[in-house]
Amino acid sequence: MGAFSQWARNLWMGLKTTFVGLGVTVPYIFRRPYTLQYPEEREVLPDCERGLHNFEIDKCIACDQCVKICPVDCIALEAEGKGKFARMTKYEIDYTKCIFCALCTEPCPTECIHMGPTFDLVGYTREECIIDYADRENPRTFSEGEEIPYPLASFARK
Amino acid sequence: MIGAEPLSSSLAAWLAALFGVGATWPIQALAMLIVATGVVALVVTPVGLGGVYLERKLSGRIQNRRGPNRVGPYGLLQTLADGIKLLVQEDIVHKAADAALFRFAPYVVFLAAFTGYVVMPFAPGLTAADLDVGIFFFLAMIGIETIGVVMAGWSSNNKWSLLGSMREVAQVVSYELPLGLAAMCPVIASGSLSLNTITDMQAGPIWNWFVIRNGYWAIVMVPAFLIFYTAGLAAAKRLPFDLPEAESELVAGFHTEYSGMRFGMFFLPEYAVMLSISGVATVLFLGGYHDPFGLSAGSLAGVWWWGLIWFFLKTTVLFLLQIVLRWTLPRLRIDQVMYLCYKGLLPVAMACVVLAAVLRLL
Repeated sequence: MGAFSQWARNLWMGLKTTFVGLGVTVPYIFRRPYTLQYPEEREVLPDCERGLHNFEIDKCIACDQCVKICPVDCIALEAEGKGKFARMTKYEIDYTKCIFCALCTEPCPTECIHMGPTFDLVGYTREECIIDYADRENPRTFSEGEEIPYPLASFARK
Repeated sequence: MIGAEPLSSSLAAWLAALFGVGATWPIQALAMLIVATGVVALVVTPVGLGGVYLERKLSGRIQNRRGPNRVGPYGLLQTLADGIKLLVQEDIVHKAADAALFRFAPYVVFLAAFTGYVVMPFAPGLTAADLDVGIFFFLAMIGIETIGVVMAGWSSNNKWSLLGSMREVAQVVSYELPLGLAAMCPVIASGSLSLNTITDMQAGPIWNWFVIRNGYWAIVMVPAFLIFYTAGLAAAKRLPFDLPEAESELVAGFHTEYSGMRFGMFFLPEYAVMLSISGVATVLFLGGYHDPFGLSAGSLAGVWWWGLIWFFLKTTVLFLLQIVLRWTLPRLRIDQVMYLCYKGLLPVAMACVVLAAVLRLL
């Protein structure tokens, strides 16, 4: 092939490939965007999602198993009384420490602590990131399937 | 002449009557100034802001995103919010910069980009100044913008800025040749440099447009149009020719050191130049403000809103194509940019000019 025809071919290919490229990009304009409008729309999470804990205080017998197994010592449990008459006064989980390993759910004899689907805990201070699940005046326990209100920051300690 | 009397002339006559003097040159200059300011304030700035919005929205859609959608309905006020943000931000002139040049450079770019609109025929009679050398004036204004960019790059005292502005000079000065030569083809076909005369030559149905004038002109005009559009992309520093501000190589090129509204004064002209290049391509090749059905030469002759609709319809299509091309073509290397200009576009543009001259003689 001569130099001139090579040059002409180059130019032609440059023009042609531009239009081939446009054929790829232009259809994308008419496709639906994949973006999820996050705070309003939420992803459907799998059942095994390890988010914020769901704690069923009525089942809990304050046996201290979850506190013992926690690898980062983020659970603080206090109870009055002994044995059957134990009454829980404090069940605090410090989410600045929690690594969401779900080990606390394993040894629980009554299966009262689960991992929930909420992943977006926010707070302005470190204190706000500690949630007391035993606070009866401001209950933060959810039964299974119950919709968890947003934002959860409003549930943090005032 | 199909187009109505230029707006500035009617305004000059009105002003002369108002002051009780003859329509001498100070009155005419005043009228032109008022019309030019009006055009920039009422037409170009909203369209420029809309252009930024369109670019962001379209870029989003091509990438399967949504684009801006929080400020105002469909995110329409996003550009305005960004503008306010830029006004509020601190205006930093760093220690090593040449302060006077650094401060002055954005104005040169801004003024050059918007002065090009003075000769733009938006609609019949809606031209700030119907210059006899309209297209020449426009290309000169595109060239002057380069000076502002060089001032910015040099005075920033930053290696990236300097590299960016040097690339800008190399690129824009080179691409002015094919740009000018491609623009010569409609000029030869019409025998005039005035954008209004060129537009009015194309009145009537679609086969009067220069790009396919009487069928056989297409041999010259289609390549000339493609060259003009490509060189226009380069002159507007758009991808794939955005080497002066190639963000992955030069941070932000010549405006690396700029902040606040001075950055905004580099940012908005980019869209203004994109739009004016699209507008001039429309005027030169696609019939300007004339519709494809021949109504603007018949029943709707000289109706300004009909012309305005068609002008902006065609300009917007070319503008959107510039945006889509941005996401289609990868950025060229500087040697490839020069190759395309001197070995690709320039010989073809010259051949087009010679052929156009021959066709004109036929």
